[in-house]
Amino acid sequence: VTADGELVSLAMAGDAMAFGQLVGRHERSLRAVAFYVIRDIHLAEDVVQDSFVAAYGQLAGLRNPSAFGAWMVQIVRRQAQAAIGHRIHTVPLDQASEVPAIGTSLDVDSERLLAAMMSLSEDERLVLMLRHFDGHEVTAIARMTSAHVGTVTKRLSRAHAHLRERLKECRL
Amino acid sequence: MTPSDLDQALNTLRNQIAGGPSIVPAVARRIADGEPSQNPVNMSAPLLRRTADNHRQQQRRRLMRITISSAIAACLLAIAGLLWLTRSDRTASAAEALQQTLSTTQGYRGWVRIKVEMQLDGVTSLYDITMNTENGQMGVVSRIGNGWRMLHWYDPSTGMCDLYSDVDEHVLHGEASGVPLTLRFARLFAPMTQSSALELLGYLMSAEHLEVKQTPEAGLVRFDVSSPPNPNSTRIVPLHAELWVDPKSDRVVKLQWNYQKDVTGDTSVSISYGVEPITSIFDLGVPKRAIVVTTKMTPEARELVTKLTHLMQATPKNYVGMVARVNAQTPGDRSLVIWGRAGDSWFVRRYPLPPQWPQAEEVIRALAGKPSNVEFGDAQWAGEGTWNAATNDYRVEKVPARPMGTYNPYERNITHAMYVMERDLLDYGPETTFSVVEDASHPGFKGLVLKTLDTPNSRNTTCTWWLDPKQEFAPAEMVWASDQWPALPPDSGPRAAGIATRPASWRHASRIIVYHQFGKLKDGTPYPTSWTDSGTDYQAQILEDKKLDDAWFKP
Repeated sequence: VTADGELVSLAMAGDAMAFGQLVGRHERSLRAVAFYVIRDIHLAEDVVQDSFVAAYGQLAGLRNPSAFGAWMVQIVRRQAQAAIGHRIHTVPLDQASEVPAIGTSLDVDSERLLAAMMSLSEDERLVLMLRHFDGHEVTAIARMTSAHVGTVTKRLSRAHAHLRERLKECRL
Repeated sequence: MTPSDLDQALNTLRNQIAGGPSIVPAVARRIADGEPSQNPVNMSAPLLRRTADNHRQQQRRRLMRITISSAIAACLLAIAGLLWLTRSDRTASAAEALQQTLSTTQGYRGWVRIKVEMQLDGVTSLYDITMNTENGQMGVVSRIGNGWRMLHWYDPSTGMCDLYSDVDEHVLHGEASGVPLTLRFARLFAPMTQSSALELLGYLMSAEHLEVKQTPEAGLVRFDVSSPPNPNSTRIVPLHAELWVDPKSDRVVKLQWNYQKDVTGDTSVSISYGVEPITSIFDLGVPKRAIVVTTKMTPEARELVTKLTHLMQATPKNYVGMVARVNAQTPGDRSLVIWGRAGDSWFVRRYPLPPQWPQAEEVIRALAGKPSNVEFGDAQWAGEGTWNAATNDYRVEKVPARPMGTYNPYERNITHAMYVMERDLLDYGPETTFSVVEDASHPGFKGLVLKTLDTPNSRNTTCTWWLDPKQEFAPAEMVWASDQWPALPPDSGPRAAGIATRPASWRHASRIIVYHQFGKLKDGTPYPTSWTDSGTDYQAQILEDKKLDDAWFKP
């Protein structure tokens, strides 16, 4: 597994495949971030797509290439906030019955879990989402984020503990 | 909550809000298309230094591997060089090498992306095709001039097509009559053989005075194909084409050509192999917020479409047919067209119409060996009629045999002339809606109404076929009307200007065909023998199992 920082360097040197790898490894985490802001699955996906395209043009502004994941979270949040103002779209009356419903709501448990996840620290949330949303192994996450395996394991363990605590608080 | 419960809950949440297909293809496509405007290589000095440091570190790590593998690489290069020399000796000419390359290219199976940029008369058209040459799935992004961007997704396994344009951010999802042809198109690697591009190259390749030059260029093999201009030709063909071939795969990766005569401009094509697969129209860059509108047929409409389509395709394997045409309003506008079919071979020839309505047997005797002014055929040749506007003269320019795989096969049949197989009638796509109606003025008939929705590149049209259930659902009447041209982008340039100069009669046009009489094939299928199309009279005859001399099937 190539580190995020190395892929960023390759992308800046014009290697589009390297950027594609970055998109693939972070896209699902970022969809969750976008959804938390915008509450629309399809718009969230558009936002993430737009964010990656925008980020590709702004790679030069990334001071620490190893922090690509955290940097993308900031971009996605900004793009999602901006998209909220443009989310209303109209449907011709005669076609209204043909328009499929857009799923924007989660069940109560998922809502609580998402809120708890977003309240974690940046480091904990990043490893948690890379593990559970993007499906990467701990060793791979360590390589991506240029951290030690032990550090990632600790962060993941703390993230799980914090999540359980916050979910317990919600139920009380 | 146990760790296992938490794991399960996270998994559920992931599927709810972050599942679905990857966006990597869409992002890759957008970046490849030039988004964003700011390029990532526009870096600050400190970042450039960091990047350079990173690269140096990577190079050090790879140095050992490169050193070890370089010896192997040197051996391979030597072998490749020998093979190349051997091949050069063996190859009789650059033209043969190019033929071999075109054949290898056409034989590729997998995902291919073909980007075509055509500049004709100051208008640039872009076509970006991603297709699977195995199963015919195909995504096409097109833009003509500054017009709206159009996206199509064809899936031959379902017969469905998705159409999206930037006009209203709607995805239209429905049947398209042309979907089955995309499989054939893809397997033939059609942009290499069928588009105006390389179809014309094929023409050049068979020309008598063709010149093919082969030279190395930047790691590729370049072929220059040229032909001296033919002063007698009225066809628009490129005089010069260049192809670049990847010597490793022996496949064409880029080509370009320019036109002769009064058409100015160049066309360039780039081809990438083994590209990221496309799974839906959304992978082509359609925003997920786009509204999907289904235009699928109802079962009743589908049944009528099937019956009408059957009539339009129903011709025997072996027959001779003729259609005589007289436009009473325009003196001299009279013609006779003869269709012949013997198994897979076929021809169409057009002649002046004799003074009287002809009988088929008499006509065949009279015209045997006489030159026609338009002719087409399959298997052996494909002639092409040309029209000289100055002299109002039709004549035939012979064209060597070439694949005709993606042409609408119905056009080879006489029924094409009887039912006027045009896009506005029964060549439909997802922009077409179908409904079945009944009307007191057409008692006992079923009305099949085809209506096109707004799309950037077509007129809004309504076409109603009145079908007679007592006559195997043969049409008694067809009414077609175009009401308006849909909105164009404000900066459509020459295209908008061209449309604006179209007469109102074109934009608000109508066409009525009334079928008077029907004959029957041996299997009972009816076909029209007399009809009137907007003031022009037609008569038709079909002689089943009639076999003509081979000479009729040759140019």
